[in-house]
Amino acid sequence: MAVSGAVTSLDYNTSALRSGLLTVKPIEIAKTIKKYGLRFRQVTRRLDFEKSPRTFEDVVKLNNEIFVSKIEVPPQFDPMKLAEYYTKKSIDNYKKDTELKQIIQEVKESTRVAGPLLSFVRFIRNRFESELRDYIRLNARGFLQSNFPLTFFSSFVLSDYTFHSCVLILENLVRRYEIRSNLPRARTEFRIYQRVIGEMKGEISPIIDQMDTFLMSELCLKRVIDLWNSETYDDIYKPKFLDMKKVKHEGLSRLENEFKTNLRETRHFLYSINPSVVSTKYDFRNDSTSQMIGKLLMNPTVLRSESWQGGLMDVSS
Amino acid sequence: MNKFKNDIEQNSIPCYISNSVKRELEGKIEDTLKFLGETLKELIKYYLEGGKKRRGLPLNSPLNSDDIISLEKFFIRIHSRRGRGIETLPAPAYAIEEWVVSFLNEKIMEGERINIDEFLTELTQTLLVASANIESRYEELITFEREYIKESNEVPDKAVIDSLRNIGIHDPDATHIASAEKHIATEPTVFITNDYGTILNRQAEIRRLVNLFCCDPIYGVYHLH
Repeated sequence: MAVSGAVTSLDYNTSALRSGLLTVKPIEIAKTIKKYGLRFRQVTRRLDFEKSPRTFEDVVKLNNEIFVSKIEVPPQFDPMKLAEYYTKKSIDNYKKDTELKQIIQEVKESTRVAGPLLSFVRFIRNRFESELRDYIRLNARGFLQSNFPLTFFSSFVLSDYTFHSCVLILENLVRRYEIRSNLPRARTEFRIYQRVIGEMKGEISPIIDQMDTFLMSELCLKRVIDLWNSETYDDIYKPKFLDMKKVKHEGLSRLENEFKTNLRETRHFLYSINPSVVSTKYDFRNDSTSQMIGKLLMNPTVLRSESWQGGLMDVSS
Repeated sequence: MNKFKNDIEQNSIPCYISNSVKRELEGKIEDTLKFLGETLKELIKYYLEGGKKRRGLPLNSPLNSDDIISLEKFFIRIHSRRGRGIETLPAPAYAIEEWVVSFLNEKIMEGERINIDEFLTELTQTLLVASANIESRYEELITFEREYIKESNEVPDKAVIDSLRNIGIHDPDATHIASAEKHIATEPTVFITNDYGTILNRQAEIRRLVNLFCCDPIYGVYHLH
């Protein structure tokens, strides 16, 4: 997800994971059916969603109110109006997301146990993987249209990798519980089946909580930069030059530190759950960019800017 | 580093990184990436646009081999300034040159109609991906201590730092060596580095002064026997 750009599905991905995985509850429906003049008791199971005291709209509204209270809002914006603006954007975007609604409906309607949950996590993963290249591109454009350093934007790329690792970890967990919920005892005894789903939620919940905290700090940082470079509500999310000097320095440093700390803590947390998923699989040896960076690290004298600035002279000759 | 890694694994040798080395390394990575970003955003862009203007072409026209010649002009200036003694190592500047030119050549050979903005965006994308992976690898190795390196919190002795400074080894190198020196009392220690310019060429002198052997990683294990 880039600093300045349209609202993306990543804006509400953990909310989707939360509502898709943590509010599910297994239910059993027993019916008596007549066949060949005999009466049979037919038991089906499906997943339902617990009724939350707060709707998606309530959660988004609350998050945006927290956001405006956490930051220094530029004088050209009214904090309450701003919260309403972001809330409306997120809800509109969520409403337009027919793919996501459809997959949640499939989870509700399926009579299988963990299968639909696995399809749901896979859907989130596949969609994120198909969008990842666009996110990196948006960050590259953001860097070229700003005076922020490259490492500022590479942290956002690392954040995207972290979200990807998180979804892979969730997928592994759900797959494991799918196998457990299909074992003979869980298939026949509803109580055991309920326990398996409960354990799955217990394992998933702290991961989603951690991701929520971390993604919120990322969202705050990106929004603050975008806001301080916007004159009106119409400028928000629009591509524009991002001037570091326009952002109140103290607020920016605080939010950047908060984001980096949360990123590191989240990666450490995910490492403790499944190091093989989080560890770098990048092929440094066969990548010309990494090799070039490696050579520079070994010979930092090249970073003397005066030897490069000389190249700027006399471009027309 | 493979031999070094094998040596410490086979001999179960503890390997430490001091706070000062960690800080220097993080600073080097940050500075290098910052420098690369600025080079792309300002100098490479400036030269490619300058070449287009000189040839009377619109700035958004597709890049071709003439644009590689524009880059050649830019890098000749860099190399010639280096030749006047500002910088003595040719490899790093050449590494950037080869990377940029090969990337553009690849695009042209593939028949891609790519303009300056798109070219710089794609080049930045590869940089962002590489730097995020470097950051992640550094984290695994140093911050999370997932492999063979542990952080040492030994506070270096000021008198040792001063004695190293007196023989012309300045900070941060003096602090790095003094941090390793603190380990001598508890376990056999060698200080490993690739810095031939400041440290390894003064191996004997440092050993006489602080009783610590400094060597290239490939020889580390032999000095512990």
